[in-house]
Amino acid sequence: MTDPKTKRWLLILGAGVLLTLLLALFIGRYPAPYWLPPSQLAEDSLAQRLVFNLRVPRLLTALLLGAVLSACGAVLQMIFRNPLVEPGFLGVSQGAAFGAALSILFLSRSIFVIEITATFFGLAGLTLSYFLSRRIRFGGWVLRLVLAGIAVSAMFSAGVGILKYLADPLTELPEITYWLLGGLWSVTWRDLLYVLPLVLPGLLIAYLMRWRVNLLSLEDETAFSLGVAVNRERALLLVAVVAATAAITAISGIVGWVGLIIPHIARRTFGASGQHSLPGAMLTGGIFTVWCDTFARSAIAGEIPLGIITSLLGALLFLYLMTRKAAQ
Amino acid sequence: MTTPSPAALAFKELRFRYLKTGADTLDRISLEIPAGQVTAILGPNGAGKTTLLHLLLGYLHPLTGQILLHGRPLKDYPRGDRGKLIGLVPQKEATALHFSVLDYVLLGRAPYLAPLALPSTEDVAIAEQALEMVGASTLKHRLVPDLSGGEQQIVLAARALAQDPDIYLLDEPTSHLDLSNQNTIINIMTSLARRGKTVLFTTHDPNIAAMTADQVILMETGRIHSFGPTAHILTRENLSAIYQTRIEVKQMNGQTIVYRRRQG
Repeated sequence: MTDPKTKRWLLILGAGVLLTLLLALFIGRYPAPYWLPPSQLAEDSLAQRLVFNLRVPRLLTALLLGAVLSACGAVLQMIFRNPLVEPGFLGVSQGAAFGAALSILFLSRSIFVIEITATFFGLAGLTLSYFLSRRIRFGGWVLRLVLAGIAVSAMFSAGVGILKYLADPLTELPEITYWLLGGLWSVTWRDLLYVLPLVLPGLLIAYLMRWRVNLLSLEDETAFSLGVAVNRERALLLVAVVAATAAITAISGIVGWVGLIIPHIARRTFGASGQHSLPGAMLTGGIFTVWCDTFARSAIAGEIPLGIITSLLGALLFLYLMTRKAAQ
Repeated sequence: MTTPSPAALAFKELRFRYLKTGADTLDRISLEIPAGQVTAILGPNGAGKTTLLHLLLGYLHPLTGQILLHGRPLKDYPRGDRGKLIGLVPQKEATALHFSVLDYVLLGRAPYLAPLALPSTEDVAIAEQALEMVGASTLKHRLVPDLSGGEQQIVLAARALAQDPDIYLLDEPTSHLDLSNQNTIINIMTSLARRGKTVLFTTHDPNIAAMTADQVILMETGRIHSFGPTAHILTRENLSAIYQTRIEVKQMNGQTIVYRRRQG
């Protein structure tokens, strides 16, 4: 069922991931801007520690972040039969942000607690958006879901605003603010290990259900007639990808647009069936996010928040794809 | 009866009501649908035809009453088995995703696949065969949203053929079709019955029922007006009563023609 063209693309992307990780390992601002000569890595113990303790976990986190956001976006777009949704549009990201800010302020600043509250409120955001969209009395399904998502996101943003207002301006406020900008500058091995228990199952379930998700994108009665346990399977898949997204958002902050744009690109390359477009989206999203993050940490002496770069590039790509499609 | 009932589907005292509406959509209806034949559910819009179809599929649950599939309560069948026994061809299906026609038809193989399995080359061959049977092989690589309404309906039928159930439930299968595509669907339905499959379809067009069906279930708001062999049911009296307009039935070259008398 895998035609040669599809196979070639998947191979190219797989190789792209490895090449990306390998190259990005040597890009940075030590010892001099942009490039760490491999020969120096063999001798310089500071370089070794820097690469192993900072760059490797950061690269892996960026890779997983991109894969998770893209998988989540692809699944949401299929299940809600709506090409315009992404985690950020359905209250997931803002919900997770609210949860994280709540934790920083009132509970604990440990990644572990932030992760739990972010996941909880991310799922709550999705659930709220979904049920509100069913109550909106006008417009098609696509429009209603986007409207409900905007409203829920706005409510959580307001909540975040209140929390920021209450936060101690010297200690808590900067932490919340940096977290909201989205970035991976403080990622350690420990952070990564904490989120893996939610991130890996999410990716695995999405991967295993890559053909099944096609059935979940059909209308209820058709999916039912094909022997699908529609609600149960949708819930399982949604909870898996949204929990993974919220969990990794707990260490990355809000990184927008990846989940919207990457699934579009993957579907253009691999066709709409999730069988290839879902793995394709995960790989593409991983590569995209690693390069964005590499740019974020290397381009200037300081650090550009990752969320700013993905939003800028994502929005530009989105406009490009949308205008090109209209021209067809 | 001493021999086992030949009914593929039977329902007794079926009552159904949608939550928001006050009145019963279906009010205590009972019937046995014979196996290996084409049965039309004929009636005006709002008679409850699609509701009945969704009940027989098991998608909706009756308020009271029972549905038997091959003599056994429908709700006792495991989900996977039911998918191999009953297939649905919806009237149309919204999809915002640009599935290729082949990928779309391939979804019909789902009941035969383990939950996490991928379709095999054999499944692909069956899907291609299904497209061939409806004369739509040339559409294989087209994208579903780019098809015309008629082509989409043909592709939906092909998906049910790939599913290969015992019982086909078709919801207004000819509603978006031109005359030649209507013929394609009619031929598919009659040839399925010849191969021993049970075909049940809804329509509001008496002529489609006359051309296709062995039996007709004539429905009017929430109840069955009459049921029997097509020629017995499609009469001037029955149809005029149901459609509340003056309807004539003529035999012409061995074919039943139903038409509306001009008023006044």
